[in-house]
Amino acid sequence: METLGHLGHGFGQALTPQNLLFALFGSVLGTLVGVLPGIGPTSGIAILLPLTSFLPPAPAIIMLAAIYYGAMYGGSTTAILVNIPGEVASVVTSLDGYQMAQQGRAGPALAIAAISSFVAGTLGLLGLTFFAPLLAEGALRIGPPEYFGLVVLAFSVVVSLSGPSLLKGLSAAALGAFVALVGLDPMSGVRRFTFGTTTLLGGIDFIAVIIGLFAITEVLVGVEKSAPAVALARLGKLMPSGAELRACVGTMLRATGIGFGLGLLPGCTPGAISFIAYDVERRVSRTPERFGRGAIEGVAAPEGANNATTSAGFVPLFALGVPATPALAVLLSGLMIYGLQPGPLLFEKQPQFVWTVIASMYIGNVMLLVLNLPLVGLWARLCHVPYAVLAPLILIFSVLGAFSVRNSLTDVGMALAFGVVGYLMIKTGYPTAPLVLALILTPMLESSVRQSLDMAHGSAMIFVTRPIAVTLLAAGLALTAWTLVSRRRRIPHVV
Amino acid sequence: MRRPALEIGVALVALGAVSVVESWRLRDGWLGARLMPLVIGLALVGLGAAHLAAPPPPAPPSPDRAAPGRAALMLALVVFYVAALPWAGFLPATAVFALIVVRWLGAYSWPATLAVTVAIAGASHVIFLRWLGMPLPAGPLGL
Amino acid sequence: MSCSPLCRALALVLFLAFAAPPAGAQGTYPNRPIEVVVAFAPGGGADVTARLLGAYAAKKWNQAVNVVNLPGASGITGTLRALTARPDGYTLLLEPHATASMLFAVESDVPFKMDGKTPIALVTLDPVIYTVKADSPWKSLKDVAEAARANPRAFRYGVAGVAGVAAFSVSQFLFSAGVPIADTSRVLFTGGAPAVTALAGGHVDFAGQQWSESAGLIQGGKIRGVAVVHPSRLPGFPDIPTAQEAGFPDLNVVGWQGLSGPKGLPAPVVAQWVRLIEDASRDPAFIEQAIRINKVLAYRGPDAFWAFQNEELAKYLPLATKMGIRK
Repeated sequence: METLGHLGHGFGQALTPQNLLFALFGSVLGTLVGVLPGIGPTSGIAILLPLTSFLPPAPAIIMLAAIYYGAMYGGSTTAILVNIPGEVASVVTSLDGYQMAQQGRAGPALAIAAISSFVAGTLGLLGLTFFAPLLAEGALRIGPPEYFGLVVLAFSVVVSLSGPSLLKGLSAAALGAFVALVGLDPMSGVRRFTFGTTTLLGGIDFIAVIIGLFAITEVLVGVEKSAPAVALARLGKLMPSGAELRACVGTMLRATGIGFGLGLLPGCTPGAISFIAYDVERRVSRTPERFGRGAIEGVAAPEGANNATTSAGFVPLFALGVPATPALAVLLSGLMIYGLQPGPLLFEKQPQFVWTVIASMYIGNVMLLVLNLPLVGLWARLCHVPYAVLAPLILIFSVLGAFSVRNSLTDVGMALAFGVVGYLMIKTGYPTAPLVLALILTPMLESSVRQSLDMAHGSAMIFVTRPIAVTLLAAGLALTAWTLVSRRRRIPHVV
Repeated sequence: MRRPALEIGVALVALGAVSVVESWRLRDGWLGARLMPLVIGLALVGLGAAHLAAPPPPAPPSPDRAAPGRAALMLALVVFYVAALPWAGFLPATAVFALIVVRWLGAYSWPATLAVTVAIAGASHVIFLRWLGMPLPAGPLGL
Repeated sequence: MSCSPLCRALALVLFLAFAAPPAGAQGTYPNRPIEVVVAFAPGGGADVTARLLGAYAAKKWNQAVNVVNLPGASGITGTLRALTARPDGYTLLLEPHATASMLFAVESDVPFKMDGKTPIALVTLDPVIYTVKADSPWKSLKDVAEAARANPRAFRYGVAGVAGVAAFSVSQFLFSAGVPIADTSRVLFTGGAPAVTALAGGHVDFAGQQWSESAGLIQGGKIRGVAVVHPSRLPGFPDIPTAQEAGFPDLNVVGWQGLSGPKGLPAPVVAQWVRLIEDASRDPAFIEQAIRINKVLAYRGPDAFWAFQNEELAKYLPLATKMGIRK
């Protein structure tokens, strides 16, 4: 097969010592970037792009792609160890990951995150290798009405994540939805909820909210415990048991499918996708009550979905020249400066370049696995750092992380405010996951509804006249109904 | 904590009202920028009313002995740190913050506290200022 | 605890302090890193031009030129920060059409004044390409106009933002084609990429985004350009007629990027940058790179740049009023 031949050639190029070194360097940098709250792959790539201008094209791109993958890996480490997601996509990982860490299973959690990421990322790359142009074409058929169906499907996860009280979960979600509306409306430019000031004009930044809700809240809650040095987790085994690994095989495959499939659609954020993957795992599990309390599949699913999404993001990038996320947009500009002309003709006109890059992404995945597994022990020892040192570090990094998003102290203030909100929510028993999910989904919901109605000149019939949209909508409603019914059965005395 | 359902319910209704009012005030189509604030506003009002009519169960009591005063103090310290950043500059503010918190939480001896503070402040400086080149506020010392 | 934590901490700090990059030499401008502010997220039109120019300047002057992204509020936040910085030449602004003339044509209360800056030079243009889906029955801009006049309600066009380049370009076209705009179906997107992607998928029928936003899909054969708003055909797209050739000579909306600084920038600094940009626009390698990021090099010196911005404002003010977006 011609493709394999090209790929082999690509590997030949990518496996030179020089290029391997750059892949390693990029992976390390990316991981560091992912670990720091607030500094995600987008800023990481943007900051490091100038460095690559002194390099020839292939190593530069290899390094940048490695950074992108590395950032996805890095975000999960802090999510598990200290309940601080490094970026939006890691939020779901912390739901079970942190619980596992608190039970002394930080090692297996970190390990399964690395393993799942590797498996899903590599499988996703296989999809990219063999099916890119076809997949890109299919992805184009998903328009606003179909997106709406998808978002409705995703909202059903809110019901799932509501915990014992549906009312509390929905309220948290409604609050998240409200927060998403503040600022300039991205479509019409109208100012909403700015009350005449310029501070809120930029809206309430996601990352600031997450830093507040997770990192700062966690410290505020943690500080209440009176012991002066609180060990965060006891260190148990470092690797998951054979049985746990076997249990996760299905999880990893499902997560790959979901992550890759949804990741092909430009505009479907990795955060939303990881929530969906997590929820699917819960539904298919025979013991769903373990989720939220340290279920290993609850870490394997979002981590796998994340990396599959990362691989999938390259499909529209290479095949259509359309970046699915801001980080990919920066990557694209870097690629174009080096002469890459994305589009279906890319694979025909510049095979060497593309295949070298794709080969190096495989290598990057392996490298990250090799880097991260041994480091599990090192990371887990972070738990031995006394809380008296860890707490201020977390707070300082949170403050700086929130600042770094837009170089604005307002965002830091927001993070603090949400730190308080999160603290109050924990004290009063309101779940934070629905708030985050609603925050992620509301912009997608709004744009898909408004665009669909614009397309149909105001008629809502558009949602029922397009087959894919109808299917997704019906599935979403059915799923929500099913979840409600099964909750009734499980928790009969609460709504 | 006493049942907070009442306050939360009222807060939700109030927030919802703000949203609906803003939706009314905006100058755009009802299917445009006004749509979501209206929908979310109505949802918030509905959920708030539900809180008042059928309050949800309170949170389960936490297993450890909680001390909210400590949380409030920590919050105050962070607020102070953030407020100090623009006029004291990054490095001094961070160092002072680290010093106070480490001393408070750790109750170490002064030399150890100072060492830890230097390490923390130094690491932050290097990572954020040197490696990442962030435009952090520079105080009177230019740091 | 023994001495070790203290010693370790001190060693760490000392090591890191010496690992710092060396400072620049004293004397001529620039003697320390320059910051070019882009008031939009990385990867966008202004950002890419900034990075290209920055890399060129960094090589020529052997000094780091860092692009700093300060997105938010349609570019107002970043622009404000750049224009209120110290006018010493170490903080500059890479401004696009969106925060210069277009902004003032639409908004009446902007926190900075249009003349509150020192214009340095126009650097690049990003011409508008009117596009349709590859298998669309419309073969020319005239076809599009006819179809839109015949059935406005079924005419769906996608634009990125209510007051962005595409909004102006498509509205200008529809006005000049005599189409009743109020009856058409305008679909708003949050950016250029989603708009052209929707076009490629057939969810809208027409778009008028910039070259850099449309190139990928045109080259990929998913969408087709029916006209480009530029005096001549674009390199790499010999089949796309100019707006004039397509029968619409009055269309003149164009995206652009230029360099400016805070008010009161010292004349030698301006002169140095002007020389650099002038040289760059004649440097074949730089031209080549610009084409790769889908930009046309269009250098104009400080006075010409300022005149250009005023011309733009004069062009967009009546258009914005006609479109009903003037606030």
